[in-house]
Amino acid sequence: MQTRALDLLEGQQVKDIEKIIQKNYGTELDLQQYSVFKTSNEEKIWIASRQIFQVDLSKLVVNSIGLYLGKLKRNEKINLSTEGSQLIGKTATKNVVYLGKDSILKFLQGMNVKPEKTLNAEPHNFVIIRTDEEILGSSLLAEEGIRNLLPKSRRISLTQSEL
Amino acid sequence: MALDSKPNDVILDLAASPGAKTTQIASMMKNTGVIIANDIRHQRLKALRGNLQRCGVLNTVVTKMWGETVWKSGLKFSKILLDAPCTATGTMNPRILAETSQSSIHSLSTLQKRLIESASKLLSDDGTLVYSTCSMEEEENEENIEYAVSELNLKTKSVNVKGLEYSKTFENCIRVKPSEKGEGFFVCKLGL
Repeated sequence: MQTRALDLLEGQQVKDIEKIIQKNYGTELDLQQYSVFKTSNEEKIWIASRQIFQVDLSKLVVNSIGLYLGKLKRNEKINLSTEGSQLIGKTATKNVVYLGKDSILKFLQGMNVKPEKTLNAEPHNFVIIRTDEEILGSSLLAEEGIRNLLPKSRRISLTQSEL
Repeated sequence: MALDSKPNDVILDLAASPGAKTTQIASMMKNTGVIIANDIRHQRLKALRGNLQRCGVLNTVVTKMWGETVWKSGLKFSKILLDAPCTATGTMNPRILAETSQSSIHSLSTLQKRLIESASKLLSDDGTLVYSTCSMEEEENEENIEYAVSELNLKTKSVNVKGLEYSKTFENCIRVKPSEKGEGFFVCKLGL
């Protein structure tokens, strides 16, 4: 994230993102406790501790700030980062997909998989991917199953003997 | 541990990549306060950002600056970590040991001195600078502390690291030898 193109969001703008999260995942995330900002050339949303802006950053060459929450998409949808999914996924009641044991490794390797069960999941929307214990990330629910959107940097590669 | 990070601190991590210590500091600060995590190389910054993201760190600003020039910002910090670039001979990695030469030790020692000098200018009057390396070379460790004391008028402070066997060398410096328990490292606390 290049902070030269950083827009700090305030009041209603933050509430609008909370509403998008509520609408898509059926849960509330209190974003008011954070500084919320987005890159102006993209719709990427970042959150950071409020105290960060108490430091005069103007004389530093800032490369990134805080945690990447997710990217806003058309029609009031949001593609959450893995960590964004983990923040929201604990209490999400909509657009949640559970994977069976056989699918977990395949998903983490970047493959498209079928859901074992879903919780109020809408096709053609971004869903939180989880198991009973862990939240794995976010992907797109398509007619044929889960279209894997796990970033390449987060995928695991296993040797044949480990499979 | 030596830095004694606490919630709401404002901390500078002058050579932060790949971020193992930064994420640990953030955890000790309970994701409050501010960490300025600096490095200069693109690939190292990528690793730093990735690790901060994976660990859910919210209180960190990553900066891309030459460590020797950060002092020009005019900022002051009460806690600074300088885990300096080093030969890493304390890791006992055979490849590293084979590649380490007197010339590389000397070159890194020069850089380390410049980084200590920059850190000293960023330190508030009552602040603490923790200097550490994973090198076992005197030129990268005790000699640099001697330089900090004699040339920069810094003072060493005592460090207590519980649960580790270590030897005290130059004025409050401690070095932990590599063993089956872990890699070797050097640490010293400094102040004005």
